[in-house]
Amino acid sequence: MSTIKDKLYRELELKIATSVEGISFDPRIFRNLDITGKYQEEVHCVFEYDHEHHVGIHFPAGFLSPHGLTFPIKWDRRSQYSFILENDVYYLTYKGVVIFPIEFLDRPEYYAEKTSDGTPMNTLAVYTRNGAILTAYSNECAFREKGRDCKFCNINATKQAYGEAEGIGWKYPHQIGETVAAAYRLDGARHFTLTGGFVAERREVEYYLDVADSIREHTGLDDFNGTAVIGAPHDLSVIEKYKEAGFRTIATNIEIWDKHLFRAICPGKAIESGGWGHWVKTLEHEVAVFGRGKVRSNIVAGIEPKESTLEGVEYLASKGVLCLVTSWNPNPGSAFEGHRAPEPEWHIDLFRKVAGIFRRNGYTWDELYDCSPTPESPINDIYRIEEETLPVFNRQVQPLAAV
Amino acid sequence: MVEFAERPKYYRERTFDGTPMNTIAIYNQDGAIQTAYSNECALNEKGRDCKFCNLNATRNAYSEAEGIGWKYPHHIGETVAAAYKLDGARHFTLTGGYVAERREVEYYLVVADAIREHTGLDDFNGTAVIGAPLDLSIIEKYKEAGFRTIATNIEIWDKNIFRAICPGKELESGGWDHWIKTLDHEVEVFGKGRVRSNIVAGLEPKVSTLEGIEYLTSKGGVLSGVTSWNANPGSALEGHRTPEPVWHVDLFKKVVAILRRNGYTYDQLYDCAPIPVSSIHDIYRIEDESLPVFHEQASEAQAV
Repeated sequence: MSTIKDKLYRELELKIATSVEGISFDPRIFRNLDITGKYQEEVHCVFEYDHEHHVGIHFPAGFLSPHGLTFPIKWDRRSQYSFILENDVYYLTYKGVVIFPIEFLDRPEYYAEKTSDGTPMNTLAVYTRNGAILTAYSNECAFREKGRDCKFCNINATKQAYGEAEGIGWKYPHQIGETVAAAYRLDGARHFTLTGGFVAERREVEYYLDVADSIREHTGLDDFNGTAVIGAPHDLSVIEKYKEAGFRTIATNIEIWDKHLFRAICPGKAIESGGWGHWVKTLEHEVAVFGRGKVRSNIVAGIEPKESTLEGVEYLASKGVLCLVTSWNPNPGSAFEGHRAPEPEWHIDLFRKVAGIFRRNGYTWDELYDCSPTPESPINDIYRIEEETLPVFNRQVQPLAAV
Repeated sequence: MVEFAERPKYYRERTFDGTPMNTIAIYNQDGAIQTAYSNECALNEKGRDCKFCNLNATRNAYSEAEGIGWKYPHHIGETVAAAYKLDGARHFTLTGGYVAERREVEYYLVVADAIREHTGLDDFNGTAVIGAPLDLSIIEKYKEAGFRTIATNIEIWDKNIFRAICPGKELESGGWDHWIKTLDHEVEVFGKGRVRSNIVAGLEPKVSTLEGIEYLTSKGGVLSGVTSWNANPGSALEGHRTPEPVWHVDLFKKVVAILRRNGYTYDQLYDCAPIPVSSIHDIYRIEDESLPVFHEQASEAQAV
């Protein structure tokens, strides 16, 4: 008989597979689902993760597996994974065979709120689950103007498709402060990530400091457990300012470990932010300022050989940086539209190895939580499975009746 | 309904020393044969083999089972002659992995001699596939030896992706710029439309690949084609996936349009390419209505 861990790992493999391959469905399957009421809706604050646009049609933000793992939804009508609805119950299927029933994610309370200037809070910060929220202050990237945006990125295309329809644009510091306070108060949120596309003339330093001030003002917290996601600054001395402003952690996403691929895939980061060597130097300086385990980076996994990615994760882990990996999602509007990520098994193996590197280097769940934009990544899942901290271990969750 | 490709007659023959000819040269259909003189690549020893390539892994898996190893010039000469005589073959490609110390020049010349001896042909319509030599003056030797065309496969057009994906070609063959210079020189020696280069399609954005095709064909006189990246077992990119079929379909159509706009003929394509039944060839023959099915339709129409 399989243990709960076995079942969770099986669900984790499905989570990764459906994330890579997508899930097929007719959008009308949700017509009677209370999305934006009871259930959290997908908000296109940064990237379109679905494999084609669906402007004007709400999708749920994700769903729970029987043992409580949070799955994202990436719509792809070609996928062999699909949703079906039978007797008011939604199921995940594979090649037409039911895998298990699912529950969509409940909507956070702050999504129903508006700021003092009437801006809906769900357009200001996305709830990335388990107490984490994320704001993309800008849903566009200045690198695009010179044709230097990252080849895997579709932030600008997403803005063009959804910005007006979903009312997503530039966010003002006071809006973020009010939203974070509401999420912390109403939903018990306890981690905030501030990110976005590159801003012309790299004016984000002042902006981030203003946002931090606003959050402290509205939450009353000196330490609001915030992550500042920044591009590598030319002047490394500005790193100290983020710490002084109250951010607990900092993130600088290298995206690709192979130096040559970095130049090709991230030309803006290479040409306008000091180059690969400078990005690594920035991360090392951030560790000197923020401390070991309080600095994060990310590699988009699947564009370079796995060996290269793991070399990067290992190196950075040894230097005090938690380098996450996120599965490359060749999405609409990016230069790589039409390409395909590696097979699910490739990603499953990678996530296990990355979690293994983190644990071997002594990084704790709390450090991972405080750095990550979402605490529901496969790496987070592996930690919670191994440490048996998921609610199902404490029988706080009754597994959905598996078929 | 499908019909599998027929076996060529020379496949049942053996060389005078008893080596099966089907292990010496592969029949690529429509009169084209190809020999990989070496089914391993010396770049692997330094970890510098191309990331998409599984030549060495294939050798490890199959060479003993299928009796495939190093080919001697006389093997090749006899096999090409047999294929030309028995199956009407009319194009030969000589290729293979990198040889240590880049000794392939002498080898290719001796092979050419053996082919000329056994076929009786001065011009056997051969393509020499070579890595970019550090000394460009040796290109002339391949022409003197009797090869009609030459090929030097750039594999990737984006310089930085080239460096990452083909570290051996970058570090041990002069770098990306030298590969372009080599192709330019080859055109000077062999002529426009008698030089081929290939890009493995799907490892870089399509716009980059097309930029390369456009540059090489229009400015360089190089017949540049694409082959769909096949993320195969044993390569460093095993587990990765090539782009969606529609991506490739679109690419092939655009590549052919570039070739035709720059005036490359089917005969030039045939003489350069290892396989005359590629998607690029198919589009040419569809547009030119030269596939056998067009003649059958015409005959049926006449009969009616």
